[in-house]
Amino acid sequence: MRAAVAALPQDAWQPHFNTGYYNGDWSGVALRSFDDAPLPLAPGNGAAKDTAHCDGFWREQLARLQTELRSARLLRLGPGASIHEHRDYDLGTPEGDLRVHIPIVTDAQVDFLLDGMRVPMLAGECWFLDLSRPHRVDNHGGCERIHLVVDCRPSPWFTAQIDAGFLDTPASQPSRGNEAFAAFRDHVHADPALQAMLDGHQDNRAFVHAVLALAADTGHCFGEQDVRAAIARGRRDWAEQWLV
Amino acid sequence: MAGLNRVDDDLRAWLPIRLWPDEGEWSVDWCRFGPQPLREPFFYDSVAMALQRPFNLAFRRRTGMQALLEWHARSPGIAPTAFIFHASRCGSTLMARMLSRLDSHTVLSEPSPLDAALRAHYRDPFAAEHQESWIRALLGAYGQRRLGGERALMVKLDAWNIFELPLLRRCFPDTPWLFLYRDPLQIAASHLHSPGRHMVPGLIGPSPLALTDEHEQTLSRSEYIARTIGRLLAAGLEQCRRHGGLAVHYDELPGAVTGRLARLLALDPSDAAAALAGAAHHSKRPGERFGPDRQDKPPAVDDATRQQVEQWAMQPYAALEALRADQRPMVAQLP
Repeated sequence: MRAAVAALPQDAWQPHFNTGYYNGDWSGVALRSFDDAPLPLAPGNGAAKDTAHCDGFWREQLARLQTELRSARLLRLGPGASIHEHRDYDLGTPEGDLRVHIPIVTDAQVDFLLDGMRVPMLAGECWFLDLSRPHRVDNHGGCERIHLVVDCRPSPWFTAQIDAGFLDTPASQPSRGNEAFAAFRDHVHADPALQAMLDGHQDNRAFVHAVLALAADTGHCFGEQDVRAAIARGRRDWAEQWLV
Repeated sequence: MAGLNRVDDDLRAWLPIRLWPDEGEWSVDWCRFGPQPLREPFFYDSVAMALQRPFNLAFRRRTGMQALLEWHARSPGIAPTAFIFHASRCGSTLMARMLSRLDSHTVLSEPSPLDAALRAHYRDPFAAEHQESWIRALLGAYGQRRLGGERALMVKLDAWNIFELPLLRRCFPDTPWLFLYRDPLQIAASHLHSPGRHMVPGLIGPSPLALTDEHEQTLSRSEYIARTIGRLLAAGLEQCRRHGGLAVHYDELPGAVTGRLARLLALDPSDAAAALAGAAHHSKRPGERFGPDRQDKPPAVDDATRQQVEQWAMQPYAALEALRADQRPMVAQLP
């Protein structure tokens, strides 16, 4: 698959349609898409068809997923790029599609965070994740990260594959940014003067800048995304008491 | 929300905003209030304000109960000055608002963590053996001097907590308490217009207030309301008799706060003007001016409701009125 990706012409890669939700290079090649989608990488409701990029090799690979396929995309996240935290609510409904990720090129410098925890995906594996939960991706490394992302229809075969894979799925891990933020939080919790200073900010942007400045001064390495994720998590933790 | 069980931190600026069991382990969610006074009609409103600040989203802390108990041991806080119980829609929020005008008074208006602690044993039988220490520690955390000049901690409970009064008395046997009530027809009229949470079957969770009647779900709305009011009034009456509570009628407000209740509420003569100024606006809708509704509201209720209220609530109401008449001589006046 790595060789097949390398053989794709550069102009096959289109920027991701959701331009407000990432920094840097996030682009893709549609192998299979909807006939009513406004752009090849975007979702649709119509019939799903293989695109011109889906040659015999890719058709053979996709056929290994023995269930109805809705869309198939190669998604590339460039060095230093990040996808902001978001939830794909359409994947969380009982009738929704099921999304699998097949890493083709990745390394230890890529943090794919689900619910704030790093998912240790390695090239050649096939992962099913509940992406209706909050997730984000940061490519801290110098290489392009490329995944084959396939949306499948639920089926008994698919369920059996998930069940079979469950036992040897490695546990998710704390991310670097998260651990650094947690250490910084302990530092703040032990210091009432720091608390008063940071709690003086009513405005999110000013608050985030104050946190990052203080973190840099005290040797805690995390970024704006980690602070924003902590804010989102704090809001969610409070709201979840009313969810049944 | 993390920074788990550090127990040597100074928590003076922090207040518990939620107490809950998570897979058998009870947790506390702490929110930083700093110098923010609790002046809103309900504790919940003050929490909502505190949670608007980004600090409390990113740096809130969650601990186990042990951290709460250890904080109490290190910094006990002001003991509760008085407890305000009530039959709902009886002026307790007005009273809380008047007292919250004073920098000397920390006023808790129906804090949900206290309700959770008082009713913990209904949800989790294993909580029973820890409940008293939890409740003492919780009120200790609320009784910290965050502004500096606090000398009184006033606690207004949820209406249904009258059933947990004996538990609260075991925690604080010397703290005086009062029970606010009024003509049950007026209470019914208010709930018919805009029902409180305890007037919706099942909404507040396990409580002795719940009707055990198997037909509870099929009762007419007016019968449900009348019976619930009757049970609150009867419970208030019984607890006043057994545990020395002071019966206070809505019609005595706001004057009684600076009058016969002043000593119980820890008011100095110089506090009267500020407290009375707090009565000038509607207590739950601060944008509106407050006017006592006894004269202008012969309650607009239908005959069926009148009949239900007569049947279920009038008798304990009359008994409370008789008790109040008996109690009058024992109450101190403002010097």
